[in-house]
Amino acid sequence: MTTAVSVSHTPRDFEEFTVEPSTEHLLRWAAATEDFSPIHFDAQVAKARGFDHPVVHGPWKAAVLRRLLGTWLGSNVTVHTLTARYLRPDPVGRQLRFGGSLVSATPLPDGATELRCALWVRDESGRVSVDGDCIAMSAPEAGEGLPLDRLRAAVKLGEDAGSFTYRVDVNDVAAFAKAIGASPGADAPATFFAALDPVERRDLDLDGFLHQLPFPMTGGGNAFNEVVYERPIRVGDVITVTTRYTEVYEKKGSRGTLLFRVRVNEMRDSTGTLVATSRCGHVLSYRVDAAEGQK
Amino acid sequence: MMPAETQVTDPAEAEWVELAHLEDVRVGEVAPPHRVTTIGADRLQAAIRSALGDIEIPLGIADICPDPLVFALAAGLPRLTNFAQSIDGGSTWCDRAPIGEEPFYAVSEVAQIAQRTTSDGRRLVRVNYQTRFTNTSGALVGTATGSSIHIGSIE
Amino acid sequence: MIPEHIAAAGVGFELPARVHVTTAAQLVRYAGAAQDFSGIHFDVDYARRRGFDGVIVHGLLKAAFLAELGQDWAGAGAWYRSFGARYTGTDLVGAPIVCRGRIASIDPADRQVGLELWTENADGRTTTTATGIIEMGESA
Repeated sequence: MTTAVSVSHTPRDFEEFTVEPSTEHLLRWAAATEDFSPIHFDAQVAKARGFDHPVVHGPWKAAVLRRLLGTWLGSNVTVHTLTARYLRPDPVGRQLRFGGSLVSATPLPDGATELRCALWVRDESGRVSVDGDCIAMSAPEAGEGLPLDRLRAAVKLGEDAGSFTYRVDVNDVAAFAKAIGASPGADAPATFFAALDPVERRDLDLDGFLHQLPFPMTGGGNAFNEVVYERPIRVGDVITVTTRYTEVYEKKGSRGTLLFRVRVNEMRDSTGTLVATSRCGHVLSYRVDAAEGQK
Repeated sequence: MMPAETQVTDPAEAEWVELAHLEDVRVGEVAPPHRVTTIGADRLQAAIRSALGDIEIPLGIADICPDPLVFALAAGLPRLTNFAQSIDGGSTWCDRAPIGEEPFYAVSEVAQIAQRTTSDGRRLVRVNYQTRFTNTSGALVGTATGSSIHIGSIE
Repeated sequence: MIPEHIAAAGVGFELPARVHVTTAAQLVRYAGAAQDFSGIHFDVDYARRRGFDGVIVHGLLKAAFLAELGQDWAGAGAWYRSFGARYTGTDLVGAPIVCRGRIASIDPADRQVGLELWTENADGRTTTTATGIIEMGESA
């Protein structure tokens, strides 16, 4: 198992590599890409197209740069965007220098770092034949555990996090009743409050980053749902739901670390009268100790 | 006299004028979708390894589509023909999700046609061909763009 | 007024059980009706990536099965003052879910009946436990 190689984030030039692309190298490339265009092999065809010699494929040079980025940036970094501009053709059989530099390292909200690099290929005279750049992501430091403080801030723990208004249409209630195997009526079924939950409906989405943490997820879901009704929700109601997160905490379980979030929804009708209050506990399970070496 | 080596500089985007179509090439034209796999990736790795030695990097869009321009043209998109010179101007690969279960669907499209005048008065047209790769869950795995550069004769 | 059949049954009475066998189509229907589009309820690859053995039934759908068991048995004119469910296990789509309940309390003064309800899965495990207070008569 390769250990993650951490490479500095300070702007720096990369170590240059010199490669001499031979006809054999390019033949392998041509076979792999199924592109046997004779301009890369046939001197006469090359001359007819205006070149002194057969030329190296631009994408071959880009592929070399891409591989070298693996060495320059380390295995903890993922390149997600790579651009190569083929400025000049390079003749087969001449030495090429491949290099670049780390231009910037910008910290991101989830603890990762965005790296931007400039890349180049130069011929023996130093003329740039390929000019490129890439954007890469450096994974956040493992072993920090679940970001509870960040989560509490994101959901505005203890405060109203958002209000949303939903109409209780006869069709909505009928569809819900049919889905649970109940007969439709003027009163919505007892668990219909769940259809008016801004978090389930993704109208309120303050903690989506919990699905992008560098830890494997091992299950989770609703832990509990409670509701207290002043009166049943009815067809025709216009309900305003206000969501407030009341608890965020973690617990070490047998299968992983459990992250609990509890939120309360207050549901009021168009006169502002409280109709129902629901409380939902949601749990996500992570393998926090396994983060190192997992990626 | 046809120049043997053409320096293609990359001026600011503001100098380019976008076109909706030119000859048979139309922005928005979509080639028939087809399936691709990573079956060629091993040979690609071996090809570069023969020149560079052993450097392991994770699979990416560039392993499915090492030459985005050739890929898009092979998918059936048209290329400009009435120009003195036609060359591959460059490639861009964007990885949006890890390369996972195969196969992938590839849909190639003419994304942009832009033209400008070179410093010595020739017409230069750039056609960007973009291919989107999605997996069997409908998720976007990444995109690959190839730029075809066409240079007119000196008037 | 507490309905005759409830008063006659008394505390401890076990409600007639009901078996629900979910289908993928039902989970899709519920997802649309409840606006809960989490992939763990319809996408088996995603469910496995999230750590489950397969597509699982929405906890709230099981809660709905239990609430309706009590609601139907209590009869017309009954509505829940409160209802709560705890999910202690997952249920895979397609597996039978047995819904059971019993009368926990009867309060004639407030016209309220307390219920304990639970689901049993195909392995005999209790996967959901719920309590509810049903009130008889017209609501505000």
